[in-house]
Amino acid sequence: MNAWLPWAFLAPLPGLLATACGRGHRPGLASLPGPLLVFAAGMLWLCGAQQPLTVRIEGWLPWLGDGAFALYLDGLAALMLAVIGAVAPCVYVYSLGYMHGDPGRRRFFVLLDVFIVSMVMLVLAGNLVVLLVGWTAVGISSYLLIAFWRERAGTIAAGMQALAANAIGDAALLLAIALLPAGAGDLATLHTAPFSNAAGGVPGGAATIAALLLVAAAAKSAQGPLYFWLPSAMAGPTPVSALIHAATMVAAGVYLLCRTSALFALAPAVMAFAAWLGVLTALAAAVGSLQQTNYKRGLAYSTLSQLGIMFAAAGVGAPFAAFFHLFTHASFKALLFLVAGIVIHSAGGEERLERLGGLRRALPGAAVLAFIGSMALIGLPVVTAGAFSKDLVLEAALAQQPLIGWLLLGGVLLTGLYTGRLWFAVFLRGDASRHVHAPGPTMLVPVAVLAIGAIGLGWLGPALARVLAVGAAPEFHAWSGLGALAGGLGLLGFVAAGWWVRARGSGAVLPPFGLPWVAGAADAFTRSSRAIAGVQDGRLVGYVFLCVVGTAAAVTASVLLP
Amino acid sequence: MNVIAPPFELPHGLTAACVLGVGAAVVLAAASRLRMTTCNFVAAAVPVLAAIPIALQPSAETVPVLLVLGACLICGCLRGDDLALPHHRAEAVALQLLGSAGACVLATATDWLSLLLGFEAMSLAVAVLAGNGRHGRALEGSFRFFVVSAVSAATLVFGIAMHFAATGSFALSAPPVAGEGMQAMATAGAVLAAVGLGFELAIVPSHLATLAIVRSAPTSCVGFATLVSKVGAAFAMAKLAAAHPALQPILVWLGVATIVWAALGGLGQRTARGLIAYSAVGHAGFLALAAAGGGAAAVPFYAIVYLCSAALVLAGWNGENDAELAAGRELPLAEIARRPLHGLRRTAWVVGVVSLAGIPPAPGFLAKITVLRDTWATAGTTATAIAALASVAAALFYLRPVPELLAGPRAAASTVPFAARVAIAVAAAAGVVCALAPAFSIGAAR
Repeated sequence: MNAWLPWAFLAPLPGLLATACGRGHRPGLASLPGPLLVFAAGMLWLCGAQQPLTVRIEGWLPWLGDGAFALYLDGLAALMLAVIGAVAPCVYVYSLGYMHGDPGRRRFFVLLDVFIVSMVMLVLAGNLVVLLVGWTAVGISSYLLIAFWRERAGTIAAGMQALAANAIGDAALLLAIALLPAGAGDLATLHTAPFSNAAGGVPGGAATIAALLLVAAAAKSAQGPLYFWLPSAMAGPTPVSALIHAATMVAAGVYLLCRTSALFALAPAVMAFAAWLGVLTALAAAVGSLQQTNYKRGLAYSTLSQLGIMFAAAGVGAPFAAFFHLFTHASFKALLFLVAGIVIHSAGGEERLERLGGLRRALPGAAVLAFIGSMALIGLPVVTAGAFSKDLVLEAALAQQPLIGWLLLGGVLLTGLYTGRLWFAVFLRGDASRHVHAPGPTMLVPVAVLAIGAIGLGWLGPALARVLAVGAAPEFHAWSGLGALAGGLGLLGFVAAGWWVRARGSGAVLPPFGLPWVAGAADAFTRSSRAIAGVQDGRLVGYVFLCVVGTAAAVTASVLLP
Repeated sequence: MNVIAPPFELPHGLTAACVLGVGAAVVLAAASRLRMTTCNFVAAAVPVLAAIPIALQPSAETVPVLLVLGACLICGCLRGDDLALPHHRAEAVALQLLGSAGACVLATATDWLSLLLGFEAMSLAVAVLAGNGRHGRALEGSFRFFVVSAVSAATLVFGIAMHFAATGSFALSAPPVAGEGMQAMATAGAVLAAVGLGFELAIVPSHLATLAIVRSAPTSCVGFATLVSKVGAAFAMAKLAAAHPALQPILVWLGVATIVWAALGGLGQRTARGLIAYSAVGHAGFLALAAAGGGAAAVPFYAIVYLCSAALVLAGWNGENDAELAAGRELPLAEIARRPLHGLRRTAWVVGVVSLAGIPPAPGFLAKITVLRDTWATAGTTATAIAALASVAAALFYLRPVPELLAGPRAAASTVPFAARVAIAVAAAAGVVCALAPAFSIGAAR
């Protein structure tokens, strides 16, 4: 039975086909068993023998160094399957209500299924080639889901931004595959590849491969200069934001860093770079969240910030802390996005913070659930999952690179500020007398399930450490001095945000400032594209001139080249 | 027992060319009496007829000739009613068959004269085919194509002359005679000839003519210029590169320049013809890399994958609405996708662009990896990295129309002609084999 578990990525396929071909009145129901089976696969491994399982079909792509079709299921993959398999059904059930009446609902669920298949394949990849297949496929399904409401202005452009950023990561991964010596693409043993072997070595050794993997991870997790696509991706339906752009796909970069942590250990400079990239993204994105006037974009910057914390943890040599934070973050960030969906759905599609507000009375359940998610995001000690994982990250960072640790601690205050600003702006301030559509149980129940995770998942830390066979198992504290300090800072920020919103109203924002490079790069590409396409202007003399010049250049080069 | 060998055995390329030529002659002779449906049937049936003797006697020429015939078959299945006058269809079919005969000769050429013959047959056929469109832009495009083809043919002839002067032979792989500067002259001649031949492949610097044709010509001509010409020229280029190793770095950089040009130029395209045009140029760059790489399997594998992917896109698109054609207007992709389109055509289009974009695990990805691996081995890191990055950037313009194509309204089944279904079925079957069993496909190609 266990031997079949690595094939879990095929589990959503029957549901996908049934939804695609079905004619029922509730499209999407048939898709529901798929992610549940993925969850079951992860749990079966975790509750079973816990021995790594491998599938290897040699000669799939015989011309590549490691062209086998390889799958690998170990503790890390099983836990990731559990995360995907737990969050996805909640999002599916929620979507049944959220997408009710949408004419493209069937297509929506088909695309979600495609995403789940791709994501699970990414997680179960045994080598870089299979990883690339999943890696690219999740990027494309993300693009198609962001552009789902294609008739709305800006959705396709937002999808293209995501596609462009992901393409940079795909190219890096492709280059890593091409550079690796024959037979060395296995993800579990990547660090043992003969990097310095003169015959088939890699220029720059392990550091080159690690740097390429870091670029791929940063693109997928929207870190550093590649941050721009994630806030734009909020143009897609909210369940997509919850599942793909908060809990799973964006976490793939962190997963890759954890999966290849042994390789990164061989490249300390790349690790240090990853740590600084993470901490700077965490702080900049936290400030960015305070500049947003759109509810979902505010949450998106919060995701960027939390992913930065995970990158920093991986960079300081604490991959377990990074993964543990990924594990807990998936529950409370999905929760916060789904609550945002309830709010937006109830307010007739309104996403601007200054138009929302005062919804505590109209949506009391959503307000409570959002408060639980906010506290978990801040890391309120003892009662939230986020506290356990964030403490672990802070401890590791302070022990390994104190400056990064202190910066992350300062970031907790900002976390409290942006979390509090969103919560107070939506639920407390503003017109409390407005009429809103109450959410149905299909939308509330999944969020409540996630809230249980946001509270209780932290207690699973020791079990996770055991499954992942962490060498020196970290100490888990429900209450510690550092945790109290971090929680206190977060709460201080939360309360300060309440005061700020009270003083300035629901539209309290920091003045905007952005990185100009994104627009600049896009402009440069557009100009080059126009210039190149402009050569085909119909003037025959230009065509002939190009032929003559090109021919002369080719002949000259042939004479000059040795 | 003595076996009496036949006194004269025709090479596969010539066999196919003869069958296609006879087909073209018959169509021309009966042109005034042939109905549109008969013309369409002949356009698809003659390549099949020509393929039978080739498939029965496998040889080194079988794969190139069968691929050219496959491309010809797919062109025959594309829309044929968008010509200036209905009776032009018979002429168009004859030209298509004649051009394909040229492609067969070109793909299997072992001497410069056959190569020149094939080149001229193909370029003249395309120039006339392109002029048969319903609006003024078709004639303009045809004229531009004709002039650039003349310049390229002159370059080719000049290269042949230089090579002949250095070697004293018309054989492609003839060594230079002893004497000072003869090696350099032979190499320069080969480079000139390759640049001239690059016109048929649509690589830099003579790619602009193909762009002009694709943006203005009738559907069948677009298919011919993007499928048949490329397959024929790619095999000829591979032979040329194998015979003259000094040509390989030049060809690699011409290929890379073509890929970069197509990727950057394609990013700004918003129309179906723009996408097809820049896609054709970009893939010509990869075919040039495959030819330069010298790998035995790269050219046939890339050619077959490109053929089936592009055929799916062409069959999905299958020309514009007559009213727009008459007005000489290129339809934006988004507008086409928002019109009722049958699910089969939408699916073919989406699968085709995903494969052309090189998205794993589509066959296009496998083909690109094959070519890049060979390029890495022969030309090193820089050229490979630039080609890979440009290829990834090009994926953006391929994937832009996909959300619209997936979501647009569905038309009734009757809107997909039988011939288009045949083209889709043939291309899809080949694509599936390439994707699921790449090792088998490469082995067969080798």
